[in-house]
Amino acid sequence: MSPRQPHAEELAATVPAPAAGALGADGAAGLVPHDRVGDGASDPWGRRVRVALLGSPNTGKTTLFNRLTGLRHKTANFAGTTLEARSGWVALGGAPVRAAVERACGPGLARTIGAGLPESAGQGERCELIDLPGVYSLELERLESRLCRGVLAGETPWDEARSPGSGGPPEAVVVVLDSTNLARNLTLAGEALRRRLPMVVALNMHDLAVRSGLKIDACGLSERLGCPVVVTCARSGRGLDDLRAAVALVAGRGLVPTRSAPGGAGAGAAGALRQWAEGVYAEVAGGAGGGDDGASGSDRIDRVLTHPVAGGAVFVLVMGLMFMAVFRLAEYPMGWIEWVFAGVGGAVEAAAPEGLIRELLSGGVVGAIGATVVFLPQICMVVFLISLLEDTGYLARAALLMDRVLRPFGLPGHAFVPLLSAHACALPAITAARTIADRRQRVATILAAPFMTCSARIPVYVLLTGLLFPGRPVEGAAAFMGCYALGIVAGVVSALVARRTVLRGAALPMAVELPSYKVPSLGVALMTAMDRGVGFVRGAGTWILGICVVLWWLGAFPRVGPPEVALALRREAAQVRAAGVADGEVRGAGLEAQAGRLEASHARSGSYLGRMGRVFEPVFEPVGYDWRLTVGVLASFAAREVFVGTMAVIVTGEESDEVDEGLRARLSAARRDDGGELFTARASWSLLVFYVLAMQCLPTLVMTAREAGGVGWAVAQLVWMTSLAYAGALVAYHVSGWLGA
Amino acid sequence: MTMTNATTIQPPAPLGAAQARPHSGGDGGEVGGTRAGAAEVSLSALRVGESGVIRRAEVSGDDAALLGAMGLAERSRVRVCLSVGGGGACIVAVLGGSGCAAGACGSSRIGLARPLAERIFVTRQGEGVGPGWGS
Repeated sequence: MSPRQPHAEELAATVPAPAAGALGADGAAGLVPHDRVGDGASDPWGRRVRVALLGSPNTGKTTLFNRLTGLRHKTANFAGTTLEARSGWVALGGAPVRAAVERACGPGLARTIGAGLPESAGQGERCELIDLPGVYSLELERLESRLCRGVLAGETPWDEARSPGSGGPPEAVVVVLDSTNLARNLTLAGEALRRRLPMVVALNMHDLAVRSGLKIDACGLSERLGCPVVVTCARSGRGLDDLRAAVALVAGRGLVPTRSAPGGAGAGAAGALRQWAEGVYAEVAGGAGGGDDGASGSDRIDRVLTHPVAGGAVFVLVMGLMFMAVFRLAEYPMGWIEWVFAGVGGAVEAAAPEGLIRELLSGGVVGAIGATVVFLPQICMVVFLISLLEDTGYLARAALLMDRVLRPFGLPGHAFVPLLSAHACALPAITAARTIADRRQRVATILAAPFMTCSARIPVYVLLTGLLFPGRPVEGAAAFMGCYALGIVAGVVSALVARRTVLRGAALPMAVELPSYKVPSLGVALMTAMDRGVGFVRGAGTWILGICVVLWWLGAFPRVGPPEVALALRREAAQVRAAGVADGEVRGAGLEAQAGRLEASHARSGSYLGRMGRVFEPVFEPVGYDWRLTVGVLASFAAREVFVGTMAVIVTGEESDEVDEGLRARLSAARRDDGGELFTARASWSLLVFYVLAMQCLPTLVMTAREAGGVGWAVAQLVWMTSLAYAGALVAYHVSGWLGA
Repeated sequence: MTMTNATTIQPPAPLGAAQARPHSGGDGGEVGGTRAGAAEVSLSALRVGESGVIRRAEVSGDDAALLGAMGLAERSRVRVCLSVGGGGACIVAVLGGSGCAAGACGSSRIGLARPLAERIFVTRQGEGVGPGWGS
C-alpha cells in the first residue's frame, strides 16, 4: 500500500483555523487569505492560474467542465497513468462580483468578502481548469483517489509533458456536489475543506432537486462550509456566470475557508466525517424530497429494466439499435471519407511529377491518412451513443443486468458495452473499457474485445463462405453466424483464462450507483464524441499513420521489371492499334489492361511482402496455405480487410475490395504452383477460423498498448490470438479433411 | 464498517444464509428503532421494501472504504428497492446514517451484484411491503 498523503490537518497546522462558529475580528466568520498568494492583494494574473474540478461520479462534473471550457480543452494522461487528464481554459469574470457574492455567500461571509470588493474580478482573464477523475472519497487507496490527493497537494502534475507551471497545488478547487444526494456528497466537500485550498462549491443539478421538492439553503450552506456556494445547473448553464466570478475572486485573493471538517485516518474518522456531513445537511436541507419516498417512479422503471425477461428484451432492443446505428449509419460518413481521400489521392497523382514522390504521397501518405481517418465515424458514433445512454441513467442498469452473464468469466457488467461495440470496431470498444474501474477487469475486457467479429472481418467471411457454399445461401449464413459465435466464445474464454492467470485477483463484486433517470443532453454527448475523436487522431492516429506508410512501402518495393508475358502483350497491343483494324482500339486496350494486371500481380509477388510470403510459406503449409495465401495473411496482420484486395491483386492483378461474383469466380478458378486449387475447401475452412481468431489489426494493438498500460499487453494479445488462430486453423484444416471436405 | 482489513475478518458465514448472529451493540442500543441483540442477516435476505441497518461486510479494508464512501457504511440505513431472484442483483436505497433524523438525508440508489449483497450484513428494521422478482 503506498504511503498516505499528508492529511490536511498537517497542512492546516500552518494556518490556524478558528473553531466552527468562531467569528473573525470584524465580527463575522470569514475567509482567510491563503499565505501562498502572499498578502492577498497582489495581482496573480501575471502567472498561470489553475483550478481543479473535484466531484463524485454522477454529479454532472464533466458536463460542468464541458460547459465552462467549451471546445477549448485538451486531453492527455496524468503522468505515469492511463487516467485521462482533461484541461481547458475558462474565461473568468462572468457576473458582477458583488451580486455574485451576495448570491453565493451567507450574510456573514458576504460582509467579510464584500469589504473592498471590486465591481469585477478577473474580467478578460482566464484560468486553466483541470477535470479530476470522479471520486467518492479522497482518502481511498484507489488510483483515482491517490491521484486527486496528489494533484491537490501539488505533488502530481496533471500534464504528461510536465509543462511549465504544472507543478504545485492548484490556486483553487471547485467542488461539485449533487444537490439530490447532498448528504453523501458533503463528505467529499469535508475532505476538500481539510486540504485548506481556496474553494468554491458548485451545488449542481439543482433543478432536479427543486423538482423533487427538496429545499436547500445555499447561503446557509456557505456559512456552514465557510466558502462561496454557487447554485448551478450545468445542463442549462444556470449559475455559470456566478461560478466564474466566485472562482475569480477566491483564486485571485487566495481565500481559504476557515471552516473545516473532522479528519484523521481509519474507519472512525470516516464515521465522524459522515456524521458531520449529515449534521450539515440536516441544517440546510429539507422539504418533501429530503427523505426516501418509498416506491418511486425510478423503482417502477428499474423493475422493468432489471427484470430477467423484460429487462433482457429491452437490453437486446437498445443494444441492437445501437449496434445498427454504429454499423449502418457510420457507413455513410465512412463512404464520404473514402470518396474524399480517393479524390485527394487522384489529385495528387495528377499534380505530382511521376516517380517515387508521387507514389509515396498518393499511395503512402494520403492512403495512410485516409485509412486512419476512416475510423473516426465509428469511434465518434459509439462514444456519442454511449454518452447518451449513460446520461439517461440506463447504462448503469444495463450493466447490473449483464453482470450475472459476464461474472462467471471474470468480467463485470460494464464490460458489455465494449464487447458489443467491438462488433463494429475494436478501437472504440477499447476506449469504452475506461468505464471499468478495476484494472484487472478492464485489461481482461481489452484483451477479449478484438475477438468479437468486427466489420473489417465481414468481407473476408463473405468471400470464404461464398467459396465454401456457392449457390447455398442458407449454409453460408449458418457458417457466418458460426463465426460470430466462435468469436464471442473465444473472447470470453480468453478473458477467463487471463483472469485466472496473469490478471488473477479478486475484484469487488459489482456495486454501482444508479443515477436518476433524465433526458440526455445531445450537446454534452456531441462534445464528448468530438473530444474522443480528436484524441484518437492525435494519439493512436499518428501511430496508425506511420504503420500504414511502412506497409505501403513493403508492398511497393523493391521495384521489379514487368514480366516477359506482359511485355509481349503490350507489343501485341501496339501492333493491333497500328494495324488500323475496325476494333483495333478496343482490342488494344484490352491487351494493355491484361498486361497491366500481370504487371501488378508480378510487382506484388516481387515486393518485400511477396518475398515474405515465400519465406513464411513453410510456416503456414500445415494449415493449408501456399505462398499466395500466406502473403494475404501476412498483409492482413496490419488490417484484416486488406485480405480481399491483396488476393485480388496477387491472383488477378486487379485492385478490388468488393467481393463480387466476378472476383469470386476468378479466385475460385485460381491455381497454385503445383496446379491444384488455390482455395480448396480445407484451406477455406482453415482461413475462416484463422480470421475469426487472429489479431490482425495493428491500430487495435496500438490502442491496447495505450489503454492497457504498456506495449507488453499488446505483445501478449498478439501472441495469444495468433497462437489461438493457428491452432484453430490447424484443427479446422484436419477436421474438414476427415469429414471429406 | 467493522471489518476494515483482511486480518480482522471473522470466519465467513455460508453465502446466502441468514445469520442468526446477535448484534453486540456498540451503538447504544437504539439505532433507528433496532433493538440491541437483533439478529444479523445478509442484505440479500431482506425482502423488497424492508429496511435494515448495516453492521458489517465481509470484504477487504479497501473495498469496505469504497462501499462506505458510496454510502454503504456501518450504521447506514438501507431499504431494498428491488431484488432480482435467481442470483440476480439487488437495488438498495441508502437512507443515511444514525445522524439523519427519520432518515431524512435524501437517498441514493446503489445496485449490488448478488455475491456482494450476500456479504453485507444488516439488522432488520420494519417489515417488507412490496413485491420483488423471486425474492
